Amino acid sequence: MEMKQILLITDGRSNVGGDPARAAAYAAQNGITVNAVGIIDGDNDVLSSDEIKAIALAGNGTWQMVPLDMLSATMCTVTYRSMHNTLENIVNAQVKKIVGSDMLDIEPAMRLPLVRYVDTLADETLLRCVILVDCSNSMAVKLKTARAAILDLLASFKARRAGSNLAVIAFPGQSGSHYQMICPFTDDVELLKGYLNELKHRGNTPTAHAINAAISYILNDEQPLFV
Amino acid sequence: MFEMEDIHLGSDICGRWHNRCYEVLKLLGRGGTGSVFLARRVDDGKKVALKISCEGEDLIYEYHSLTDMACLSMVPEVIELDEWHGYTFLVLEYIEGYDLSHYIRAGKCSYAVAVHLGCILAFLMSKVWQKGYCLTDIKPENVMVDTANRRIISIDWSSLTEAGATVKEFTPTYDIASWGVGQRMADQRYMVFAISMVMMVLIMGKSYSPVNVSIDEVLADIRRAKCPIGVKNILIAGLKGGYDTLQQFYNAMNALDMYDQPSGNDRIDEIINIALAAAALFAFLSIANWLTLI
Repeated sequence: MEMKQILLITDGRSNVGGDPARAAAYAAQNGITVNAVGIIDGDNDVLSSDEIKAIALAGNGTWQMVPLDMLSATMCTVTYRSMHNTLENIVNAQVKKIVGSDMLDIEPAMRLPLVRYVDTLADETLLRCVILVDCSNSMAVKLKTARAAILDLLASFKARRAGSNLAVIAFPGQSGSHYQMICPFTDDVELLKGYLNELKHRGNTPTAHAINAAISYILNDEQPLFV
Repeated sequence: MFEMEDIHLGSDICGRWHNRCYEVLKLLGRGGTGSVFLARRVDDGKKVALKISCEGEDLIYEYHSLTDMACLSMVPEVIELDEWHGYTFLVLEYIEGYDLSHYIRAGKCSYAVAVHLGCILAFLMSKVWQKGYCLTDIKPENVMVDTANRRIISIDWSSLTEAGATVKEFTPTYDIASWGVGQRMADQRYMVFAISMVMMVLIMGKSYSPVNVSIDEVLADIRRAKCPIGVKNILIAGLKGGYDTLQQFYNAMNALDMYDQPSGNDRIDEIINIALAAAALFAFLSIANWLTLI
């Protein structure tokens, strides 16, 4: 089995292109979970957490709003939690088929063996995750941290039993394009490090375009063309 | 859907399984996926800490961690685990007092207090390790000084991880991997690093972030600090991954000849007294343990 995820990292609202929550719903229909991490800083508007939440809900994923210094730790927990939730739904459906009642019909204190089983499954499931990095101008001072956090995420996946591949897409892309392939799927930290130098801030926030690009990349395994 | 923000002061939270109700009195803290409230059990008015989250599995793990570790002192007492409106909640003993970050905000701690607290934490964590686990999210916010019962308590056990597994819950400042010193693996070196950083933060009276400071700058800071060379050497070794086991780290600290002087700061003096009392208890426990009495 293989798990397909999109992890969105952003510090603001989408302001170009369609509704990102709709794009996330389309991902969910295609078996791709969309998770979102919003970076909070002093001058952020409160509204951006609504959008982050809407994207994650539509994409069957999890979301969190965090200050910049917690970005790396949060990307880890959001990814693990989302894998856990996806597998829990699958296990739950099976349990229901076999014994006729849900995991949630068991008292929480007695649920530990099932929770453990789900985590073991998660550890043994192949992961393919596309990270979408908001590179709009407001992210300028945060990109250094984002780069380190992405490297950190891949490094911490090394401890998983099953393979993990990360790809990185930036939005917007260079010369007016909506997104740019930064790094194709890899499990090589050094390779990823080289590619991440291409993350540069510019322009606005076309979130929906970026989600759509990630979906077509995951489904067709071909690098999205520049638009 | 019912939202976490809808829980107000005065709301009643009633368990689906055990039918006990709790009235929310005060917000104690809010995290990524849940909140902790001070609450009053409606039956008998007992004050409790109520941790509520939309991610049930985290609290299920924590409930079992706390039950498994209950034989160690310094663990809050678990009252019950239940569900309400799709949320899971964990009811714990309410501890009156402050966490260590409160004391850090009040100013620098004397190095003697930091060493006493370091000893206590190293001793507790070595017990955790002997049970085959590692507590990965050790930080000042998670260590409470129980002013009513005069003891030190580690309050957050959700990060309890099997020895040798991947660390999934951490805070960058206290995480050896974020500083590039070691791996994010649940082992003794991981805990020694975190405890050393807690001591460092206590002594310097400020926190460090690996986002904008390198470990060499932290080490330079401790070298410049007004503090005996013995303490400096232990912290430097701990922050460089120099101790293989908690026992080595504990022994090194225990060998220091520490004395205390009042700091003139009430909040800090309070912690000195409690740390000393707790240190004495632990010295006794470690001897008892050595004699295999417990």
